[in-house]
Amino acid sequence: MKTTIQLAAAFALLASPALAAEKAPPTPITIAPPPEGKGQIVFFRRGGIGPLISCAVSENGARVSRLPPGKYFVQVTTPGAHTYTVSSEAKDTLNVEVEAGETQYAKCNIRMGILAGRPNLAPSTKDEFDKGAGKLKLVEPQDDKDDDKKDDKK
Amino acid sequence: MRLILLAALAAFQATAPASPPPSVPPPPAPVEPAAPPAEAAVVLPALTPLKLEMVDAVTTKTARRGDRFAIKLAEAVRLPGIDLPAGTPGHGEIVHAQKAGAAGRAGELILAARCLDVNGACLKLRSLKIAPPHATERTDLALAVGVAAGPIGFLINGGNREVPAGTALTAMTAENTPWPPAAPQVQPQEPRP
Repeated sequence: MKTTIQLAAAFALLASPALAAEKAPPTPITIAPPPEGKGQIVFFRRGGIGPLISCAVSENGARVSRLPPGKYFVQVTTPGAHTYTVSSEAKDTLNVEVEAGETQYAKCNIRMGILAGRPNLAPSTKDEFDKGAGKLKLVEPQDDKDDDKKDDKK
Repeated sequence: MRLILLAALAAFQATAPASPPPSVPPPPAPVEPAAPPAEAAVVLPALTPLKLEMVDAVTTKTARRGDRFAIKLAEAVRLPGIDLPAGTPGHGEIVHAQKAGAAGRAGELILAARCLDVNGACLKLRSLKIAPPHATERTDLALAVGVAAGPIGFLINGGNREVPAGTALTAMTAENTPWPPAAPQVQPQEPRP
């Protein structure tokens, strides 16, 4: 009898909606379409290995933004060809072609380097972005300021 | 007596009806040529979806930025006044290509659709979508091995990315195109002395 009650309690706990809600897939992040006549690129970086390695995205030598682990930002830009770079002990380049009204995706991950990890900027997809959407947060202005301070110390 | 005659003459001129001016025939109305029957301008609208197919295979092992590759229209487009047959050839361009590399780096490839060749004219394309399997990325594995076993992590290569011939693609027309598209006029070159 005692065993039966324990089993019933365990079943009720497993079937509870609260538990089911915890296991629900993460809600996708809604990225608004770009303004009229513009395109945009969503840069994101999942958490994981190499959290101390900076992934600062630049275009034509000018900083666009920084990507700490688990963050993303949306770069609205003019249609046409663009070249974005990330660099540490080695530079990595991503060439993209932005079209008006469209959203593209690019990811930054950290790979092994000789002295330190190397950020790698690669093309990605909305599906890949959505998979990690539950853990991604928008880059705050403070994130970029923190990195500027580090750069100043160098 | 002379005064009476002058007064009579003046009274006659004042009462007589004005003589009609010499008749000048009005200029003939210009004869306009008969207008051709009005034809509704046929336009293939921008953002018309197209189903395409890769003709060439592209792989990150050999691809270079700026290289062209052949595509063709996989499904005919039939709209009022427009018949674009399946098999119409075209080309795309490699926007970004990077070989797979050490430390688990996967090959990277971005392709763009450029033109379908319609009677020698370029029907401009945009918004190429392609869904080949992703290249295998092993950066995390290589980094983990690197931490555990040093430079051996560099020996772990990522996978190259390939888009085989026959891969289904989708794209859209880039702009409103009067139909049929006008072929570019080639200026005759003067013979060199």
